[in-house]
Amino acid sequence: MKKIFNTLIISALIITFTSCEKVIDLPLDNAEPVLVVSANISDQSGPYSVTLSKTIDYDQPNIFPTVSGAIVTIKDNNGADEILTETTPGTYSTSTLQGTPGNTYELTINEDGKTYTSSAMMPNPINIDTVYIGVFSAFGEPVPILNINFYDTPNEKNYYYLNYLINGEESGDYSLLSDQLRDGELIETGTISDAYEGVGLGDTITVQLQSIDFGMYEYLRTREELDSGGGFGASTPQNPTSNITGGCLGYFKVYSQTTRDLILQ
Amino acid sequence: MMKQIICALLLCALSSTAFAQEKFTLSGHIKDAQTGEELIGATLRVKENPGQGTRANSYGFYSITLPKGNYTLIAQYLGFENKEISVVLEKNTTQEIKLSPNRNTIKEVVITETKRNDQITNTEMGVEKLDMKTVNKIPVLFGERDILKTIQLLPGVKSAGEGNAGFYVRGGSADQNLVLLDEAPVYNASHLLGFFSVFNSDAIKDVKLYKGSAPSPYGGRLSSVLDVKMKDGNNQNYSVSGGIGLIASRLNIEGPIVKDKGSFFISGRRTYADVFTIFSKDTTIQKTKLYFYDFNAKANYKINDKNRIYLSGYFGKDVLGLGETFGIDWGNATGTLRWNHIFNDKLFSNTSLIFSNFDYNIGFDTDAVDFNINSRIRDWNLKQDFQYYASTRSEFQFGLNSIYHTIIPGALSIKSDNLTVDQKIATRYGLENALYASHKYNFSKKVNVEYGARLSSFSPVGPGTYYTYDAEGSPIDSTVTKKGEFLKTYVNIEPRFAINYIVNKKSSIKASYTRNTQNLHLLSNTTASNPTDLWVGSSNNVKPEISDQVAVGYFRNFADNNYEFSGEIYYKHMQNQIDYKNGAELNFNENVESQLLYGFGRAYGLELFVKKKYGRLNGWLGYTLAKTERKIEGINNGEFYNAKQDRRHEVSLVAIYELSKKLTVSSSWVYYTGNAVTFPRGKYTIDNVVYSYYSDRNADRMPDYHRLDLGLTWTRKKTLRRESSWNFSIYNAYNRDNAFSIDFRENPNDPSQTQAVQTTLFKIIPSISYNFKF
Repeated sequence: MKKIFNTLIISALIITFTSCEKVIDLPLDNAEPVLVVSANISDQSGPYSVTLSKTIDYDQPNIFPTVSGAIVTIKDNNGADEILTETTPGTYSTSTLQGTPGNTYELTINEDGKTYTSSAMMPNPINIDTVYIGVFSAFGEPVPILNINFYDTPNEKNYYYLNYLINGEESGDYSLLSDQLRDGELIETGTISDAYEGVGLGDTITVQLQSIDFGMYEYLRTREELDSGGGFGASTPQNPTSNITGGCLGYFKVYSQTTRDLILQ
Repeated sequence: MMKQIICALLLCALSSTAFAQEKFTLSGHIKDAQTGEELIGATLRVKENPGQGTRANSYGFYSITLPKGNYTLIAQYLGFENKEISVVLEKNTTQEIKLSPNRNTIKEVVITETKRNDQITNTEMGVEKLDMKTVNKIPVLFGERDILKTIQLLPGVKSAGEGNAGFYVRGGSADQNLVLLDEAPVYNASHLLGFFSVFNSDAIKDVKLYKGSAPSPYGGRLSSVLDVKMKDGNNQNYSVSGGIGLIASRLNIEGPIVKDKGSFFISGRRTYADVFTIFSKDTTIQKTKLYFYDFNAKANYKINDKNRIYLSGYFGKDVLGLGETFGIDWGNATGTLRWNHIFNDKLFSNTSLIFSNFDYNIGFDTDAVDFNINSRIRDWNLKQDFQYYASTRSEFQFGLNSIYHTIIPGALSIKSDNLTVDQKIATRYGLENALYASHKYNFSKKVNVEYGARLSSFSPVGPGTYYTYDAEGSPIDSTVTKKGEFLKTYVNIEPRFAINYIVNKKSSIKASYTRNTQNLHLLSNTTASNPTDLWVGSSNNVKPEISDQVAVGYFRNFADNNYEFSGEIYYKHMQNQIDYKNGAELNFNENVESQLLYGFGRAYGLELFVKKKYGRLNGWLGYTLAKTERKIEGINNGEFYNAKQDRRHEVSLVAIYELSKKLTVSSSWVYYTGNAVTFPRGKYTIDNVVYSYYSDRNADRMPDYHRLDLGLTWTRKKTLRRESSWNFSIYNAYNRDNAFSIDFRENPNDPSQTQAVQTTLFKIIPSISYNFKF
């Protein structure tokens, strides 16, 4: 809400008054490179992978070094314990592990003498009730809206990440929800995005409903703050709150997933 | 210990009067002869003994007790001619004193006016008084004269930046300033997100800023008190004045209700910033509504010599709308009813009933959905203040204050064909009480003291449900209070002490210690001042903020009091400071207190100030060296970090020069170190997106800020009754690109690179306004 408000008021003011932008030469201090972790395990079939890379200086081109030679293990509370193999530089994969809802998974990374750990329980999957395209009218112009409805599990805290694919490709659009104030109710959510521009008859939109835990939700929520950019009315930027301890960036995502396809007719 | 000191001092005060010869009191009001306006702070000195004197209080009342005899008293007020009054003091006497404004300021000031050395003799330190005539000459953005912008030119007071009327005093945050308009707290003192302040300078009579060592009648905020008083109105003649400017126009009407007995003042201002949007080619922008207005009104009536009542009010609103779909408005309303009662020539009493309100409404109206949010803070406030003029050496002030706060954090209503939601975040109630006493005492010709204490309390009042939270921010336990029941009561004693050692007629050394507490906290994790920022009271989670400040200063006058110099150093320790968790959600969050982190802060600095008050050229040069830090568990690994208002250096230079009776030129130049900000220290990729990597909080700096403004006032006509003038000003005269914000983006020419993009809000802006009075 605040963002809408700020954007509106600022655009109005900037139009009314004078303002200008220019590219400046701003020398930035550099920091020691930090490990960046992207680790996933789900109730879908494996193999699951963990990718490791490092931060680079701000003025460098976007070539991010991968991290090889780390020892990456994932174990669960039923005695499964696997050391992941580095399949391509910086990518470590499981071979036998199968994610099961209700199990707790523990990730350990040993890299350059440091240890990073994380642990999370895999939530139970939630079925999607309905998916349909509706029309939302704001500012006088009707806009198509993708609606998704599902039932929340009562008496527990639930966190959801909805990922949207167009003809099997990542759309770039997603939704992040919690069941706060609507525990056990029918959750009706919708998304409007430029990502669906040009999508028409015959195209398929796939909705992936992923159940995640609080730590992962917090990571994604705090990362979303950065996506919305700085500028006027922005809070002090911070790194997203990682659910991995040891001083790295990134996440250990333990999730269960259900899927629904919508073919536009 | 404290108690013993107070007893000893009281004894001194009493004994000195008990054994002296027969004494009588002269009392009354000091007024402007032309308009009847009381002159706040006008001084009265005994010519035969210049060390003795008094000062008119905020209602222009004075009282001076002297041994029986014949005296000549000199009344003085800046911009007015001195007046000598011969008195034969054989009994208690009431005497009204009327001063005439200086007509020909240039000549007479130099020749006849005895320059005062007030800053040497009084105990006040860290106090700035603004002369409204000076405010009106200082060039400002769009020619809209603004007291909030002008006080930011003083040392120790920092502007929160362009597009922000907020200010920071001695390392405190913007919500730690108590902004009072005729005693009523103003919760959001800015218009249009801070481009202008709510104070229409046409309606303002007097402005005083206490930078931390406020006497005990003031309390409730850590950093400062900005005490703004509205004009009472001319009780001699009717008069209409006003101005037409680039983006706003003003109109004021004043006059007697009954001549010499009562007067009224009404003032209105409206902006028309949205006029410019009509010229836009974009139809949505054409439909943009963007304006604000202010309305001030005041009336006073003297019932008899002992009783007088004042009624004053302010109402202002900002309106912003886009087409028919989206609209937001917000505004303050205040009202003050006061009763001055003179018990006897030594005891002055004022009783005030005060109302303050701030609210905002957001409406979103589409074919499918109607969506509304509103939020409000409202106070009812009762003050009883006594001033007792025991002798020329001893003056007491004591009283009590009680405020009842009602805070509606947010009420949401959504209406559509198949859905109706009415959700309200629980209203909070709070009761704030204070008892205070303060004593000013002249130990000797060399030493003055002012000391006192304020006993303050805050109680969250039911009905309400108060939660405690776990690490995830989920409520784990709750306490329910019934209507009128107190959840708990925080009690704090706030000692205040100031001493002045007068070295000689030209110089003095002052020291002070002040404790302040604050029970209302503004939650804002953004860089801008938003009307939607939320006020919360102290609760089971939020503890009262406490600050302790010590300051030492050296004051010296030069060249026959033509130049005033002051140097002050201060150290301030602040407890229970508030910051926010990563990604804190502050708006419309029932569990907003779960998003907060607590710690302490410290601020210290040096302020140097040279001021020239008299002559054709006047103005000042101010310099501040300062540091302010916070230490809060959960931020920056629990290490000290720079508060966002931390700035190392700040310089301001103001010069006003009277070329002739008709032409005055003015200029102001400011320089300050950029605000403390967090810039990226690197970057990384995850999920195919490139993100910035941040390390230490607020360890980087925005580029230095500097700006020159120029102004010219051309008085076309000036007689006793009629006046008209043109005001020309240039904001940012040398067209400096000051950084308003810096964003980091992908280079459009090379997506593998990132670049820093600086936004400048105001380049050079000329403006013109016309002011009149008849």
